[in-house]
Amino acid sequence: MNTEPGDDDLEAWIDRLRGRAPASGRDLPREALALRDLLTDPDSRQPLPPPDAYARQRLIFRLKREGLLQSSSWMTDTRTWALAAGVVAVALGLRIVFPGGEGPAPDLAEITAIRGVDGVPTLRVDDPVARGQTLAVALQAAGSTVRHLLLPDGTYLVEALVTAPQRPAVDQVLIPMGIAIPENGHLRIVLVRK
Amino acid sequence: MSYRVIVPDDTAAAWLRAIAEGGRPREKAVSGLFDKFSRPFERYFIHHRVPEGLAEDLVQDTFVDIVRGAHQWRGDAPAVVWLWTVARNRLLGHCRRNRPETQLDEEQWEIVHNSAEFASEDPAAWKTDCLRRQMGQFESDHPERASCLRFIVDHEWGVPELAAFLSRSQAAAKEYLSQCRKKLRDYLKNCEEWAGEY
Repeated sequence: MNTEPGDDDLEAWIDRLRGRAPASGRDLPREALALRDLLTDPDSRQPLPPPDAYARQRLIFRLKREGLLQSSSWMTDTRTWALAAGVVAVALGLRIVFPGGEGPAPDLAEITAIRGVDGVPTLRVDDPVARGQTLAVALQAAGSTVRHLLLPDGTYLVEALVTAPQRPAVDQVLIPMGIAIPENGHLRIVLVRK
Repeated sequence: MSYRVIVPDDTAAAWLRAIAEGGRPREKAVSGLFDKFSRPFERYFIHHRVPEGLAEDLVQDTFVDIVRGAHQWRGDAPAVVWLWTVARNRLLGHCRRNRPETQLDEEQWEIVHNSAEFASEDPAAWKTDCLRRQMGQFESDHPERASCLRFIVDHEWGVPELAAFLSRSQAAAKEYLSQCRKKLRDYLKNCEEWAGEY
């Protein structure tokens, strides 16, 4: 191996950068130490933000759509029913208002996204009661605890408490609509008349 | 700008194998990999002048590539190296289609101008500032070379890992690193006080 002139020097430089004593025993690379200090300088190492849960769900959804992730067997899995219910909900003409989000999920171009104001996803639909009940059934089929009610102003509120094990199934309902489950698992969706 | 990924290679390897084998464990493995690697990949792409929004899309594409290609990983290189190689290949594909170029507006040029005029009365602070500035310039001018240095420091990669990452022979990887070191010296020698140390 290190027979070429300069090979030892380079190896020692690399070893120093790796934070190890040079295997060659040579002690030349003060330069490498200084460079390592520079590269490990806390000021130059901005911490990475946590992973983006919504981006992860986008990926999972895409992989499933492209047939790269297996969905579980038909009929026995509530997730299949939840997905079907989600698709039906979209087909029924739900329109989504994204509160302060980045915009619609790119895979759902047919859904109109408008920025909301209070942090609660809002669906603009023809019939809030009927659509709200459809959505509630889909969320219940996915295993979450759901309550839904008509508010005095004519809007329909669907609330769900989603536990960690239920998240994948509930995501199957929500991802087609571009809605993410809040971190605390308390999901609220408002349906308003178009 | 660190690409540090805190995951044991054994874990990454187990995830890769689960993805390659398919079935229901694949989703869990994809999620595990995504949680550990998505942000470092994103930062790596941004470091190579990919706009932020586009970098997110490249991350998604990279994971699709990983899932499609997991069966090709034979364990010749550590799993983490292989994963980074997939990200690099995705970046190269992007760069072939979109030549990166930097255009600064007047305000940005003003910032550059002002930063170049920075001078401190404290020699140590001056040296530190000079080194950071020159290193930043090196990273901007030679992102691929700078990435290799980051991988050496952050992941403790040696020549074999870098050779796998760069898809070169070990001898070629050594030559690349040697050139990398030489180029970096040209940048850092401008900080004369430090340049006198070697």
